[in-house]
Amino acid sequence: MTTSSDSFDALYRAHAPSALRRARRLLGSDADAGEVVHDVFLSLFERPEQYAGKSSMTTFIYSAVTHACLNRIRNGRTRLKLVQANASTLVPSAGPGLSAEELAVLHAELVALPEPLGQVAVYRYVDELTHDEIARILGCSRRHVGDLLERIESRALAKKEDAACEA
Amino acid sequence: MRSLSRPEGCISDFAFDELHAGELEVEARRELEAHLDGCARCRARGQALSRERAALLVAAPDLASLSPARARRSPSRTLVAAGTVLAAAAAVLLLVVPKGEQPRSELRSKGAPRLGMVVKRGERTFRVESGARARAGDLVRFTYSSDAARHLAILGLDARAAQVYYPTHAGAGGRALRVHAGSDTALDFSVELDATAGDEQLYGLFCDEPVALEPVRAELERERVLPALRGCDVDRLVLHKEPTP
Repeated sequence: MTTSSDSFDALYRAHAPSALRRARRLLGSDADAGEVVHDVFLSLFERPEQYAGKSSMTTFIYSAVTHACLNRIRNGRTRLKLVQANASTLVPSAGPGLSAEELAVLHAELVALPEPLGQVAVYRYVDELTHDEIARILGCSRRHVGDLLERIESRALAKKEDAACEA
Repeated sequence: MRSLSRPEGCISDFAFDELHAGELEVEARRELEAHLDGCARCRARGQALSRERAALLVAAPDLASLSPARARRSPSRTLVAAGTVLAAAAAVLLLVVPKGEQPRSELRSKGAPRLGMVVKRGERTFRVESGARARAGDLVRFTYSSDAARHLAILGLDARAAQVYYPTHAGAGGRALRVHAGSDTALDFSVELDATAGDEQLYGLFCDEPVALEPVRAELERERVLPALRGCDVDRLVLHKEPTP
């Protein structure tokens, strides 16, 4: 990849819409999603070497946006606060996606998951990707993706059983 | 977790995105197009994504302006978040250095890794140097510069306690997190300054190894001095926190 303005502009126009769509769906906030997309592409412009060319640019952007969104979701659980101009709380996306309640549940689930389970959960349950597609983004085997999904399901099941016992 | 809404065998948004980007191999593209011929659901989804993409591109700026040098000169219209504070490079940066105090950056050795700070106060965003005055409620965002990939941590020490600000989540296992080489690279979090008045010392640890941070934090809080850390370069900044007027 080169860093010329023309090629970067083309790259941005090809990939920014999908990046923004995903960030909106994950974060539930247009402002936060815009920041994530801007930061991801600015970082890529400044350090193009981070894209090694071993996968498609779509997989690279998916991965970068997922990391950035997960960081924001996790930071929201600490005393650290995200830089936001307008909203102090998450606002449901106007586009097709999750309701505010679904978003809150999703964020709680993602915060509880260690890496790389958080990423895998996003790809499977938010993006609804196939095991093969997730494996390509993560750069691992389909079997490994299956194992990771089993771990996520096991944790969810254990949590459900714990809740049932407490009730 | 949630159940899937996309029927088995139907095309994911990811595949549509790769198709749009021209990244699908010939065989994969043929398979996808064959599926589209027979699946009304996927045709509708593909059309919806195209409309969404087109609508976004109409609103999008000419992002040749993402060149950092140009972005620093003007707060260019951004993708969607007009008025939103963006990464440091996209903001109008106002250097605030109290008179009579030498910016710490001038004291550092050349080539040493260093931290930077950008403060958001209300609608204003400005870069600050070590020794600057800050207020409760200010949001501080950090940048770093390092010639090589290192393991980075940022700790803060005020009159009350020491805290690890970065990494910001448990996923890092309480250890310094590897970062790439970069110049003035913005970190994806900010710290809201609390009402504890006085100096807040900020330590950027650039280490060869992912050092465990809790022992460092505990000793910093107890001794009020950062312990010696083998294999780490340390950059120290100070913010003088004032009560909100």
